[in-house]
Amino acid sequence: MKKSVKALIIICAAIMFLATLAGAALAAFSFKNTHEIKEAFNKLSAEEEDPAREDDVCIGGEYMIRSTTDISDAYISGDSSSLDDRRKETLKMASDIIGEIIEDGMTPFEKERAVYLWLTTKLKPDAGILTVIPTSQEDCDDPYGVLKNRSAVCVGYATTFRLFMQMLGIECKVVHDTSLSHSWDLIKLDDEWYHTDCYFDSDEGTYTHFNLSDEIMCSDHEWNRNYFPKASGLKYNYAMMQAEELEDIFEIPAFAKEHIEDPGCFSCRIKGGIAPDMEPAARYMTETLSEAVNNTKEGIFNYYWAKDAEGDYVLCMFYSDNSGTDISDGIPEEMLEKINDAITESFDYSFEFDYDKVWSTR
Amino acid sequence: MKRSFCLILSVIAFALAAAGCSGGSKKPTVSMFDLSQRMTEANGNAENMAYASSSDKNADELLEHVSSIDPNKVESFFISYAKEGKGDASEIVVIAVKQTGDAAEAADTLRKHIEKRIALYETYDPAQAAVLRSAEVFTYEQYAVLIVSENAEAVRRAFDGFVKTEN
Repeated sequence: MKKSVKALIIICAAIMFLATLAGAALAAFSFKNTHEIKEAFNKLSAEEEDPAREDDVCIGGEYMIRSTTDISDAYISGDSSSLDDRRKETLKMASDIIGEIIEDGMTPFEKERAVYLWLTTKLKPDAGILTVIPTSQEDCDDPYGVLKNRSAVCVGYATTFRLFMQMLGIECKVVHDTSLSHSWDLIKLDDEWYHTDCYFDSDEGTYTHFNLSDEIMCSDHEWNRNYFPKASGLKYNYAMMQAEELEDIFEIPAFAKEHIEDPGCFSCRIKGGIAPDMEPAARYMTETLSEAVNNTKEGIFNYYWAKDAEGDYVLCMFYSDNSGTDISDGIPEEMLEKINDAITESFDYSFEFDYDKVWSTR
Repeated sequence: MKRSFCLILSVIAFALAAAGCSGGSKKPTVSMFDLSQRMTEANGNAENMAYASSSDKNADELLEHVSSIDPNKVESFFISYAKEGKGDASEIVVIAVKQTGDAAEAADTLRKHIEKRIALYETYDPAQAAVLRSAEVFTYEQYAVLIVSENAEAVRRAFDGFVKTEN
């Protein structure tokens, strides 16, 4: 064979060999990447799905809901030998608090209320979950850190509340929402379940989210109702328990004004109930009242109408001193006026409100 | 013999060049710190913003908070974000990738990040969820950029002004 042909064959063989080597290297690199990406995707997919379980659920991508039945079992049995030092310390802190706030002879509801008030007034809500790189206090999602540092994210409030309930022999579950961004509790009283969200009521203990039914809770919470028990209880809805009777809906503003001086929960029912043809008027009254209060007072006013066990409407109102975040926050006064003027001009709708008329007593 | 040897060497060089990845040439990446300063200033809230970047020791972990992109594809990045999340969802992220072709992937991960932030804020601070919904995500050469700001236009101009001038 001619030398030049031999050389050509060698050259072609060299090209093929090198190309094969390079191709194999690239494939291995891609596979590794693909495999890693697939693993990451599976992990992401798994975390993004709403898991049908109570514990070992990650909230906000950072905070884990974990069981504490070993601690409550140790409290009930009096035997903490199986606990590690950290769990023993948690048990001691929780036991001391129970010793302070729970009295002999308290009903389960009274015990629940005592724990709720302690959590919502003694702890500082940790908003670190909202920072891009969370800056929460350490263990703010665990009763150990919550009781030690007195600061908690929602998971901390929920798991600590559950720990207390289990120590007191009251059935309780930690619920998480479908977007895996929030958690709270379901508690069983007299064979009926109720929702309680201590984190949302933190700072004031206004009972806004204390012992609510599914129907009321779903206005601002969403969860897997196929997995968690149905909460239809009304008997221990705090607002309903406090309801005072008014003669008619026109007494509502004066009633509200009287109670707003003390932040908290206040409620009323109308004598004889509200006739179906008066329901729209009743709703309009409360919507306008809400606008008046939120525009003239520093705090936040919330309300909802709910039917009690007899089917009569109860108006449940809540007022807290926290100003919270208003959608108009941060917008300069002149800009707000300009926006209002633009809307008024287009829709002939005036934002001027005769608050004196609303607040006068009858 | 000599000729054959040279030929073979040339072929090797050619094969390596042909088999290698060619991501296309890109301009040098600007300083993330300098860029962050300009953009955060334009945001108008610098004293309330925290800063993290690829210069940090745990850079890969930090990057995970905003993007699921493989850190090996990233040349540098910075994250400027509101220290107090409640009442302020401001956030500026710039990721500079090694291969320009990966900028689109980086931008997609930033969009997913924003979706999660919106879901979180809808629970805890609905007013800021509205700010997040108007977030801007875009790419420019090797950069993937996220801007969550009430002064988004100014921040964008700061980016354009700095990156395009430096290059």
